[in-house]
Order: sequence, then C-alpha cells, then structure tokens
Amino acid sequence: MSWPQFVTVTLNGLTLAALYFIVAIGFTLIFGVLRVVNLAHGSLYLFGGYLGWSVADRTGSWVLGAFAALLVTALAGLVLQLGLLQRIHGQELREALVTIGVSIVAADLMLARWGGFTYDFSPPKVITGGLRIPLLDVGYPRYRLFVLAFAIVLGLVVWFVLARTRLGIIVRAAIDDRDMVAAVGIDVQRLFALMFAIGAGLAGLAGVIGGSVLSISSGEDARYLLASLIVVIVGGMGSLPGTAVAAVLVALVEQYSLALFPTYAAIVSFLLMVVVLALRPQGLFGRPA
Amino acid sequence: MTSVPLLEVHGLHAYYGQSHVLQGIDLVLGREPLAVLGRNGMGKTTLCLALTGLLPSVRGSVRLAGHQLIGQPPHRIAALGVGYVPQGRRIFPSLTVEEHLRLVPRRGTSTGDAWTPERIYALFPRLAERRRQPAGTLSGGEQQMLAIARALLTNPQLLIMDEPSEGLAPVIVEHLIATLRHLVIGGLAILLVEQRLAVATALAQRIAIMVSGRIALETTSDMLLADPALQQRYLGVSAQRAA
Repeated sequence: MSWPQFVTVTLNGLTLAALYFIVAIGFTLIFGVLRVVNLAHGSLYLFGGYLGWSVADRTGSWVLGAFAALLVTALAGLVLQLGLLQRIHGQELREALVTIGVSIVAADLMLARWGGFTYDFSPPKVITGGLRIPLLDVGYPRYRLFVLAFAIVLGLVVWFVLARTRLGIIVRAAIDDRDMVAAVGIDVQRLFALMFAIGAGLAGLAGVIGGSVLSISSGEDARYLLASLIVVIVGGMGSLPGTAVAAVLVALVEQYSLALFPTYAAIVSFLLMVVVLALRPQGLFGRPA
Repeated sequence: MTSVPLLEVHGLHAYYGQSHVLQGIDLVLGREPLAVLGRNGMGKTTLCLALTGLLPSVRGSVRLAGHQLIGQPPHRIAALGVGYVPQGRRIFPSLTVEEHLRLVPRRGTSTGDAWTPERIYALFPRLAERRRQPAGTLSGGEQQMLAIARALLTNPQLLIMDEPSEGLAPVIVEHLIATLRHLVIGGLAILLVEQRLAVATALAQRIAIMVSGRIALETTSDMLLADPALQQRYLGVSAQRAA
C-alpha cells in the first residue's frame, strides 16, 4: 500500500467508525438500560434519513432536516416504547419479534412513500468540498472529517451526561440493577421511555449524518442495524467506551480488508465478531451477565 | 382510640411462574420491630419482593398506614414510605458512595426531619471517608451500610431488610444491630427477615416464623430462646450454632 493510499484508507476507516459510533450509541443505551434489543433501530436510521432529506428539500436547510430527523424519530421511538414494547417488557422473544415486525412494516411504508430512489443530501458549504490535510499531505473530503468531529463531540457529551449528571447516575444505576432503582422511588417506566426516545432520536439524526456521507436508499436500514449489532456485540452491550473502541476496530478492519483483499472483505468483520464472542462472550468492555 | 397499624398484610399470595410461593400471609406491624425467621426456601425473600412491589404476580391486601400497596409500582410504594434493603445488598457497583446518595429522589417529610446525605454521613462516618470510592470496591460491611443509607434517604416509615447479616463478620453484625436499634428508637419501623436466630432476637421482641409460604407461628424472642425444641422444629438449628 502506498503512503497516500494508506492514509486515505485509515481516514476512511476512522470516519466510518465515527458513523458506526453515532448509529450504535442509541442502540447500546437502549439495550443497557431497558435490556431491549431494538431490531427496529435500522428502520429509525432510515426513517430519519428520508425525513431529514424531505425537510431539507422543502426548506433548503440541511441543519433543519437534521433537527427534524432527531425530533420526529425520538417521537416515533416514544410511541414504539409506550404503545408496544412497554406491554411486553422483559419478554425477550416477544420484544425481538415485535421490533422485527415493526422494521418490516416500516420498510414497506417507507418504500411506498419514498420509493426505491437514492437520495443525496447537500450539507452546508462550510462542511463540504475537499481539504488538503497538512503534514499527511493528502486530500480528503471535508464532510467526512466533520462526521469524525461530530462523533467525538457526541461521545464527549454522552460521557459527560453519564459521568456527571443525576440522569447519568440514574442511567448507570439502571444498567447495574433496574429493580433497585425502582425501589428507591424512581419511576423506571418514565426512564425507559426517555432512554428509548433519546436512542431513537440519535438513530434518526445518524440517518441524516450517515446519509450525507454517501446517500440514503431502501436497504440502508438492514445495513446499519447489522453494523450496530456487530459494534455493540464486539464492544459489550451497554458500554459507552466499548461502543467507541469497537466502532473503530470494526470500521478499520472493514476498510483495511476492503483495500487488501476485497473479495473476502465482507466476512472479515464477522470473523472479528466470532473471535471476540469466542474469547470474551460479554464483549470487550461488557460485564459478564 | 384504636389507631391504624402501620403495616397490615392480609391473605397475601405470590407466584413465581407456576409455583405458588406465598400461600396466604397475614401480618400486622406497628412501630415495634418484627423479625420473620425461617429456613432457606420458605419464601422469605419472596415476601420482601411482594411487599416492595418488585414481584408482579401477587394478590391479597397490603396496607401501609391505610394505603393499599398491591398493584402499585415499586417507585410508588417507595414514595409511600417503604424502604428496602435487599438480600445480597445489591448496591450499584458502577456508582460511587456519593452517587448512591445523589441518586435517591429528595422528598420532604411531614415531620420535617428528613434524611439528608449529611445525616447519613454522620450516622455512618465510614461512608463519608469512602465517598468517592466505587461502591463495588467497598467491604461487605460498608456495602451493607450503603444499602441501608440508600433506603433511609427515601425517608421510609417502614424499613424492610432481607438477611442483612448475611456474609458479615460477627463484630460487624453487632455494629449493624446497634445501628438498627438506634433507628428503631428514632421511630423507624423495621421488618427484619432473617435466617439467624441470634440476629433476629437481638433486634426484635416479636418473631414470626415462616414455613412453606405461610406464617406458622407468632411468638416472642424470649419464648423462642427459652425453647430449644421449638427452635429445632422450625429452624433446625440451635441458638449457639446460629450465633
């Protein structure tokens, strides 16, 4: 691999990692607190992407599209939790089947509304175009660097909330032992609804941010659900540092293998997951169940 | 004038899936501590879970100062004045001592002398020394203090404790009993679930013995301690061995 190629592949890996992190963080927060594996997470990503595109198209503002995606998918998540999942809480098989069912219905509804076309976003001028990176001496799309910066800021914000605020204390306590959180007088159903809304909103926002890296079209839901699953399984369900480290690991492995042996690249990230599961079933940063 | 008892349990049944664990419990508790004794597997922990709302399949009646608790979610039951110190302590390993105290919602009490983190640290100076330490790294005795502190901060009228002496060294158990006596004098009602006769009788004069999901016998500490045959029959241990 030549130097510019190596730098480009590494940057591709890191920026893809950033995107995986933004998508997976909501997934892992929902799992950590509610113990629900939300298999409709990819649908929320795709819904956010389409919706953000439509709003941006009408208003001419990408930022407005991103905000709309965040808010409307958060609301959709709230409806999903309060309307369906709350009734079957703790019944894992039913939760899996209901969220798969929702994702199938949602995929068809979105196909009916937005069709099979590919939609391209136009993010604001300041974060588009190319950038000559000093020192490394390679050109790189400015937008992908924005995604990287955004993921880092998001990670820091989530870390700060978890480490320093009372909500963060409640969330960490709930990841440890939900029943004891209820026993000290905290309404865990309200906490669950809030976490589901936050996780869903982040998925929807990721739809706009990720859709702007390439484009958005039907089928992206399954792709990002799978990516989220691999990332949180490797990192350890419910762990913020685990999600960050695993996103970098999975994305770098994916990009390097695409560059080095493209034919077998698809199986390498699964191989990584299999190896982690064999050696550390709880994931890199997960606690044993 | 007859006042309403603090806790009235009537015909309480509880289920784990198909198994019928509590089979009609009747208990009345005033301000005086009550200890529920029984061997392993008699339903003692299930009783605690049923009273705190953490077990959904429950029927019967549980009234706290007149309020029906059956059917209420656990956080409502906590708000009505039931504090819970669970078996195995179940502190939050990823939170520090201080964060445990910040977690609990602050609620005023009618009398105004609410528990605050400052009062907790005065009661348990050990916790003040360890306030920045992750709770998972505390010793068993310190974790037990923290579990009690967490329950006290909800300003309970009734404290339900499930085997608090389990896994603690004798000197720590003595300290624990002294603390609980101090709380009883302060007006807190305690329902103590225990396997160890010596711990139960050290705190409570009233003793209820649980066998197979029912209260088999209500007696007093003095009578139980004076009757080894009774101890043998219901607990299968002698007082010496239990101590």
